[in-house]
Amino acid sequence: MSKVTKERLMDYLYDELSQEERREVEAYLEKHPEAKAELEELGGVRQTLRALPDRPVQRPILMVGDPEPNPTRVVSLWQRWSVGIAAALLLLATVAFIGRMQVNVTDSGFTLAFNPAQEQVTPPPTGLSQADMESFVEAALQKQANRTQDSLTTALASWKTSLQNQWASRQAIPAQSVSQTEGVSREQLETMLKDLQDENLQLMVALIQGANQEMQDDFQKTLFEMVKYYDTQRSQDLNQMELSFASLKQETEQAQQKTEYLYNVLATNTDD
Amino acid sequence: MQTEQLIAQARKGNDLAFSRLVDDWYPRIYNYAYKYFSDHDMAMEAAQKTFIAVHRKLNQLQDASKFKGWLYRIATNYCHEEDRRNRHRWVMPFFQTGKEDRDQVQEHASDHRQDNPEAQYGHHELADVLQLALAELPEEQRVVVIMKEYEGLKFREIAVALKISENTAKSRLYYGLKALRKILIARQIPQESLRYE
Repeated sequence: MSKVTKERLMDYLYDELSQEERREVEAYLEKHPEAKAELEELGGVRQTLRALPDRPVQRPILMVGDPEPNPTRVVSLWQRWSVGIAAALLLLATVAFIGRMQVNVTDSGFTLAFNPAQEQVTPPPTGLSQADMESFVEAALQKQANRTQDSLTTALASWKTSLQNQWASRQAIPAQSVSQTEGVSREQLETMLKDLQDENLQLMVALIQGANQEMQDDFQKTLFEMVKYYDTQRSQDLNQMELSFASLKQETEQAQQKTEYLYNVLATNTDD
Repeated sequence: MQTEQLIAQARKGNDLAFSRLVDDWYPRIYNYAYKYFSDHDMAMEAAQKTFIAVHRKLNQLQDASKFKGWLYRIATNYCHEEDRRNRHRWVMPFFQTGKEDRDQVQEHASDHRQDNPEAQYGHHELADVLQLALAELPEEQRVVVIMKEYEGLKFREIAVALKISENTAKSRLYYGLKALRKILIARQIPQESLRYE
């Protein structure tokens, strides 16, 4: 039979052995009185230690802070936010590129300027959620698309009318002048065609410029509204934080007063 | 089982569940710390710090079934820190106590005992001796003796709490009990009290 180690003896003393292991130790102890005597001594110490009782205690009110978040949750939050931040930056860069944005930093803050001049816009209703904000931007973009379509339709209609008029006048001319002198009529026709081409070109240029202008204006408006919205949100958050701090301060003061009062009661009782 | 449910609830931010967890475990951690220090104020300090840390770090506990070992690890760390901090502190006593004062305190304490005062006084004295004997043990043995004898931790829980092997825990307990026996004999604790029944 192998020697029972001091570790195995502790297992036996504190009853952390299987029945089979227990029997093995007991068989060993039967054959080794010195080991048995040692075990009895240690058991005696255990017996004596039981004379030290637990002390009753009143658990105090704990001033606990916020718990540290779960590390895995931090990663997922960060991932979610990083996508949002990247999207916002991309949107901002696009808008800045299209609207030729200028940022001026001054002592009192910073200003965003666009070419052409600024426009006064009404701020959106405050306290919007992320989804509301997204639908708001989408609506603005939709409105801009509609407006571009409208202006294109109008321009096309006016172009069509002018073409029709010209066609009508050209139909009228041959009846009088073409029959008189053919050379003049050809020259007139060429001039007319050239005028028509120039006019069309100018019209197209104006149309494209107008559409670009409108697109710029709308992006500008959207950005301004976003900036104003975030500004309002920020000031609201600041107010909220200030309120929270004030109430925390009040609560702490109350707690302090209560503690002082309790100390006084305690002191008075102790004096008695 | 109950503790594990409370932990699960507390992790979801249920403050009531955390409060019940503290109700259940504060007396244990206080008594552990009291036996470690033999001092009420230091034990309260260590126990409070322990539960503030538990509240902060509960989300980091991987396996709720290892709560007990984890809790005693935090408590042991704060006991160790508190002990080190106080060892270097110079304390000016408010007043000097003489033997008369101590007798008065003893008398006052025994007023509240309902049983036979004489027997209780004897028991009380033995408890004081045991407390002093624990204080004489080297810290690494004292911690294991308290955890095993008074807190009822399994050897594997002690191993988790102290980040040592189970065999090391058993070995420290063995030498701790041997040392206690010597101390108690030196303090003339009657041999019959040390007999194993």
